[in-house]
Amino acid sequence: MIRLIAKEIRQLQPIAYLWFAILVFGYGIQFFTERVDENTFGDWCEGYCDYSANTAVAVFIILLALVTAYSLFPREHDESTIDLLRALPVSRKSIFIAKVFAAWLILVGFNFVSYGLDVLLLASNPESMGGKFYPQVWLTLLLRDCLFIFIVLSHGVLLSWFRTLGLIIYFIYLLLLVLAESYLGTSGDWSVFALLANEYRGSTLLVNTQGLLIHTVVAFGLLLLAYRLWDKTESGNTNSRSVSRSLRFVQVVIGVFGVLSLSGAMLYQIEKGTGSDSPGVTVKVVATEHYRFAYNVSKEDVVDYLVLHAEDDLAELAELMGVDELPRIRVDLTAQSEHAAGLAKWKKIQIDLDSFEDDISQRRVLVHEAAHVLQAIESNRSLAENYPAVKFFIEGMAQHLSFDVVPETLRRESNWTLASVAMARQGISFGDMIDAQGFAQSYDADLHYSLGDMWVEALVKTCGSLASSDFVRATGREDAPRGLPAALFWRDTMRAIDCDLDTVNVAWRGSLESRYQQIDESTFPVFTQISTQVVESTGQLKISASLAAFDSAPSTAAASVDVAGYATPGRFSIRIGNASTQIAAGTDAVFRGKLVQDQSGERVEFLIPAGALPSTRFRYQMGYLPTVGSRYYYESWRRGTVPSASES
Amino acid sequence: MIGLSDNPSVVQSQSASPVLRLNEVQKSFGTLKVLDGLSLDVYPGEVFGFLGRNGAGKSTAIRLLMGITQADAGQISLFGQPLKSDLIRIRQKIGYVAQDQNMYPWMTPTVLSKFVRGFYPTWDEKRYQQLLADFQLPLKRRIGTFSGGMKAKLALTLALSSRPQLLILDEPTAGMDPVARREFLDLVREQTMNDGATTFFSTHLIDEIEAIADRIAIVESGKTVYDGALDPLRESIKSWSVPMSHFTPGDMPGEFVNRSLKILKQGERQGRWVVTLQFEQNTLIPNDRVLNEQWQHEPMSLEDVFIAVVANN
Amino acid sequence: MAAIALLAKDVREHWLPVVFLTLGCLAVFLLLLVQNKQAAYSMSTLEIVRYALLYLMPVVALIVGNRLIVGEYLSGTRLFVEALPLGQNLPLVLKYLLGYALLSGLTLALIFLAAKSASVADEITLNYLVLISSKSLVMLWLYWSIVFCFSLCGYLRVLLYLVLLLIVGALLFFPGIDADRIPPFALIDQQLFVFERDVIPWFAIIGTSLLAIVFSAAGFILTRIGEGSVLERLSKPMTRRDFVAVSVLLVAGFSVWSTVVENTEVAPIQFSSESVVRNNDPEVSILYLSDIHKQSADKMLRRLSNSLVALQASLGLQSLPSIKIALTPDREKHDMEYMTSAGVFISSNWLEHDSYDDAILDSVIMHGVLSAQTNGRAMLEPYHWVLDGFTRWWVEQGNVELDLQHQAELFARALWVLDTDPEAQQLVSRWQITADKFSYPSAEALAWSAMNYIELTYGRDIVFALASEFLSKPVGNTLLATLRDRSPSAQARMEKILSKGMDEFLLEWVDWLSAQKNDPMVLSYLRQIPALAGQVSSEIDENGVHRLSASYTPRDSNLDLNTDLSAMSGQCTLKHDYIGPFDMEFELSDDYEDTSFCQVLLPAHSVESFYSSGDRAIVALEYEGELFHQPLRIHSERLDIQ
Repeated sequence: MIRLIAKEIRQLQPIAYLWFAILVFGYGIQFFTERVDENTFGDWCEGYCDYSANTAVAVFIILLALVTAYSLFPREHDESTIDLLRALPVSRKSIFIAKVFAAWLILVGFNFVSYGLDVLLLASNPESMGGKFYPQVWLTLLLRDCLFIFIVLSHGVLLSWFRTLGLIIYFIYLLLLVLAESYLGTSGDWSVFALLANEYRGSTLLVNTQGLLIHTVVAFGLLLLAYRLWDKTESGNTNSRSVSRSLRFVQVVIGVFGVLSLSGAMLYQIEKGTGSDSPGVTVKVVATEHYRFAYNVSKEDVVDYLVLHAEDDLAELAELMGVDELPRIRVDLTAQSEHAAGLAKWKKIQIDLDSFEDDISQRRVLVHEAAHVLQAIESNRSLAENYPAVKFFIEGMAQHLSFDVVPETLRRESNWTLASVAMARQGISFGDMIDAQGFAQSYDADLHYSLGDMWVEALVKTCGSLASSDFVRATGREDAPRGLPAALFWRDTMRAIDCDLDTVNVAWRGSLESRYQQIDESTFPVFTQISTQVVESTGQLKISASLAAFDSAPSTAAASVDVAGYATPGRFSIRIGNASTQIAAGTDAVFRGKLVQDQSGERVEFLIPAGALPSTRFRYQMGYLPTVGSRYYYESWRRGTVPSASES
Repeated sequence: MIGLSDNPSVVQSQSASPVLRLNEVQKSFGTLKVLDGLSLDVYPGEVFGFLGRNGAGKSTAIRLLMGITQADAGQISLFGQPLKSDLIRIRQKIGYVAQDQNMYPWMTPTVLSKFVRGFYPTWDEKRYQQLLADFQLPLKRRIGTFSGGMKAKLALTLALSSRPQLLILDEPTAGMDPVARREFLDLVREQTMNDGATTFFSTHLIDEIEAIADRIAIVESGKTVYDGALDPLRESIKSWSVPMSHFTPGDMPGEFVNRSLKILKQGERQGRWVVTLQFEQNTLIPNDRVLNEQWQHEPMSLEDVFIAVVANN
Repeated sequence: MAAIALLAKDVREHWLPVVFLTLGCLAVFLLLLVQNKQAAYSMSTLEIVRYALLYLMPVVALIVGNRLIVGEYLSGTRLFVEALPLGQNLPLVLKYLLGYALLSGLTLALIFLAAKSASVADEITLNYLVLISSKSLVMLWLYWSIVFCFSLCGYLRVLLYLVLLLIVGALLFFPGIDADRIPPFALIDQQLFVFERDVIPWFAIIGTSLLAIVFSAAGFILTRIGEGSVLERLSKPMTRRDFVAVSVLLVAGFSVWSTVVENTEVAPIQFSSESVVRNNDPEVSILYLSDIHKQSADKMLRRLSNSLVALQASLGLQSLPSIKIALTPDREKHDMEYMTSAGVFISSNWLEHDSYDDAILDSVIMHGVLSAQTNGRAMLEPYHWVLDGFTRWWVEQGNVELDLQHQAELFARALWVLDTDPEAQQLVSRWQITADKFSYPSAEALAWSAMNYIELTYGRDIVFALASEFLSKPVGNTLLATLRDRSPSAQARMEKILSKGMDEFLLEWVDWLSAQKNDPMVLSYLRQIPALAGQVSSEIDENGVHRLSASYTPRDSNLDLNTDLSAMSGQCTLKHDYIGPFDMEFELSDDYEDTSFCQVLLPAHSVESFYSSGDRAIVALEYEGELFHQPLRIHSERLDIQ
């Protein structure tokens, strides 16, 4: 067997040279642009050992393993050198095992060299606190990679039997994962990406053992199937590929039946249409000078109200933004989406007319989305390129303009109150606002709307009514430097419109703090004494907390709050962070809580089905409706652990 | 099937059990039936010629012998054991030269020997080096740069260096020039004589069979149409011709009433009517006993005999 | 007639894989349609056309190219076809057209299906369909031309695809490049491809078409070079000589790319408000927001400008970075935001500063200035203590008279650090750990005391020599620079300047520092420090609620610390926050803190926290007295919540 493996390794030398060239290329860049003694352990594995999965690295390893797998069998069969092996006094099983093992050995070797080099680099920086080394994490990552390589290699060995059709099969597998994430919020352990998801208990890296076990068993199954298929396959030159006439007939039938059934399914899918799910609803169209509305007949009354005000509101919006030339905008009012009341992309708007009861709110949503359209045009899409840094501004400005054009004072006041409480209690700074992803990881992402609205209010007060629109235009200016870090981008663009960022921030914080002083503390209690337990009978996770008045220095006995006012159902809400593998957005699961009485008094209790928890470690965010009609106020995200049976 | 097997001249080695036995072997690729009940025996020490046209199923038979392909039906036994019983130990005693030498182009003869010798307990490295020298094959050059003839010689070197008890050659001289071919055949005969090995030599070139084979089998459409020594076959088939002017349909060169015979082939060729007859093996007659005067005897080479036998099937 | 025969041959050879390929594409289209309906933020079914063009069509083009061209040109049957009595280019042209026709057919089918689905709620006019189809077909033409050209390159094609991917990746993710100026990227723009109906992107269409023509022409020319000998050569497996040639090409490409990578120069950012006081050389500007703060800004400007001029002269610095300070009145007194990516930028609230607080702010500014000299490297080097010690020394007594009150507070803090952890004297090897354990103010005081000792014992020149050696020259940021800086080692360079062994120097310094504890002013500060040690405990009660508790115990000390807690006016504070698994966090904010009296009998702090088992938290116990300007960190640790 050793000889066979040695021979396979020699045969895979070109591939090994290619991977080694990539390794040298990668480290070459690092050595030319970084000091080797600068890396701390956290820097070294940044991105790869963070929480949740890293899709980019997974895709890189998958490509490596598939290219290597595809160079094992197809060529040997096409050039018939497999016959030389089959003529030797050695079993076919050992030929197959030797090939797969040799490929795995090369990739594992490549992995060991890479991880080994990293250890040397990390060892050369002992002084700093960051110089600490975490052998358990390092070794777990290394071994997990080796197993992951074996798993994907087994996929490749089977797919290579299908030759290029195998690529489409794997593409469809990835698409099904995306579909599962869109439908179910997560594709669970069936996604290869979930195998590289990281969770920690302290500094110990936890491994998705269940997922790895499933995939390892599947891998051996696929290898067995691949062995059978390759064993049955003759070498290239005996042109034994001439299939019998009956088999060819079967293939033709499958082909024709497949094309017809898929086309039929597709036409059925299209007939169900998009936008409106309810069959039999006719879609009508009404156009004004700048708008074209498509809507369900059942919504005629609210659409009439919208159409009545559309042009005037647009004109007022254009005036507020200093825009002269208005585009022609298409509005789809038939959409239903639980994620957003309205969406805008370039010159198209989509609004869900069921998201608000009262018509005036729908009218304001139209103005909000129209503001997005004008933002995109005025900035020549530059705003979208710096999206993480300006998301709060994009939403805040649209919110600010929409409330100016279509005043809804009560709703706006309620939003601003929520924002000031969140700012004061959760310590949100301008630095947090300009990092959209980090913000969403720590706080309630919807706060971008209200905090953004107040920020634009401060901007307009400091630098004039057209300041926000000037900022939009400044991002698209000809000589704007590209690819700046968020903080620099803001300072550079604000300088371009002659407006001082720090002055605006001072005004912004001032208005939030003064508003916070006026709120009624009892309407904004805090969750304390948070406990997590597993309900034996149902397997659900029970997260419960008591409500206490917020006190800047929480003493041991927090003053309890009269929770009677909170008895209304749906008042409490909890979000469970999904373990999306980043190939599809996925959505966080939301559950309502209820008030219960236990020995320590009134408590809020949330019951979470086990299926909604991505793993034993999860992220959650608790919130409540401060007043009837307002949005939910969410505290910042926290990390939780499902207690093991002994603990709960 | 032409049964000439009880020819006395090749009896001495048949008392031992056959080194190689195919019994009613069937093999088809999809709708194409390649072997249709092939049966033959090869005895120790023989140089057995396996003759047949292109596409007759020779290579497939050999691939079945080597276990490279699996038979659909029938029994295959080597060295007295069923092939499937211990394929690896059986193959350790076989030297195989494939029809097209599919060796790894990136290997050199030295690397090839390092790779292969571990599989053969009887590997003889000294002999390998000696044969390479005899064949003037460069040790350090990649096989990908070898010519067809050089690859064939290397394949034979590889096969012989494991001192096999059975040497299976599948059209090893395809693509060789006459000089290289003669040199190759001499070497095969010389080496098998020295080792006392059995050789199973598949070819469609008749002169090679004449030069080397003790016994032959002719295969056509997946079946053995002749299995026995050369001379009895040659003796049993005669050919006569008569000018068309003197020929009336149904004429025969003579009355061979009391002998069973078979008309293998007859037809007009260059103004003469030619008849090829095959006589029962045990009633051989000298070719000069022709009864009708206009008929004259046509000498037949082994190739003519082969064509007559094969064309008849 | 010949064309039909050739086409018929290709159709007969490839019809079955084409059926299965169509089958696969239809399956993918179906999944795309269903996924698009479910997708949270999809606004038109036609978006799946862009999605297919980006991700699916390149794969399909590769498959078609592999079957139609690579198969024929690698296996050598091309020679048979070229021997037939036909025009030389006819076979290749037919394959080119057949491949493109197949790809176009699949894409137009997808556009039709998506448009049919989108037409329910959107106005799918003929012009709009023609616009999207033409953009798609031009993009397909580019894909097909690239695959056509590379398919003729035999074994080189895998490498060419990799290089092409690298170039596209660099163009997409390198921030300095505007993708809108590159035709194919502009053509497939995320917003315009589907949602722009009125404007025809001529620049993008013509540019992409030209690129397609270039690749197609390259393919045809390749087949004719040397009557096809190049093609012949490429279809043979790689020889060692080819491998070397390719490797040289790769390395050359890489070095060209790494030199082309230039940093995006950003114009220095200036305050644009009127409420700014400025100084041109050195470039200092201070934003004071409103006129009532102008006077304090002027005073700070003068102080800083003088200090910087003297520093530049003392260390012989060629240039100084621009310095900007912004007043942020709502910040805590010592809460500063510190940025050094474009000059030194600090926002702080200096309105209630006394001279000690000013020294803290000035030290942070000098820290930024000298850190900028070394490309920001000094903070990560074994001589970090030289940077912190020198900047505080310079601000306290570099070009001003040393304030004895400052000196006493700094000495008291330094003595207390050494008393608590004698190992902290290892300035070179334990600097980062000391800073983490006692926080930066205490570590800085320790380093200042060392600089102070050097001034008194070796003279100011030695202090300046140390600063010049480590803080005035830019430090390289490559592997070679690392190796160069390690020989001789930082410690050896220090010993050369001090002309004394490090261990010996440290011993002398510690002895000298210990002697300062008897100074009356220092004593007055020491007696304001509680002789306490801290312990932290974390447990989860039976209800699953996590509690964080902390308590203090008296500790004996070589210093005359205060043991009578009742007489102490300060308070003890427990601070805590989440940290990640790898101790990357050194700063601890005031977001989560609990303040109480420094009692020793009962647990001083008991906080219901939000941690759960498996989390990691950093916890610090600090004493905030009236005399000390900054808190004293009595205890800090990193907890694995069990």
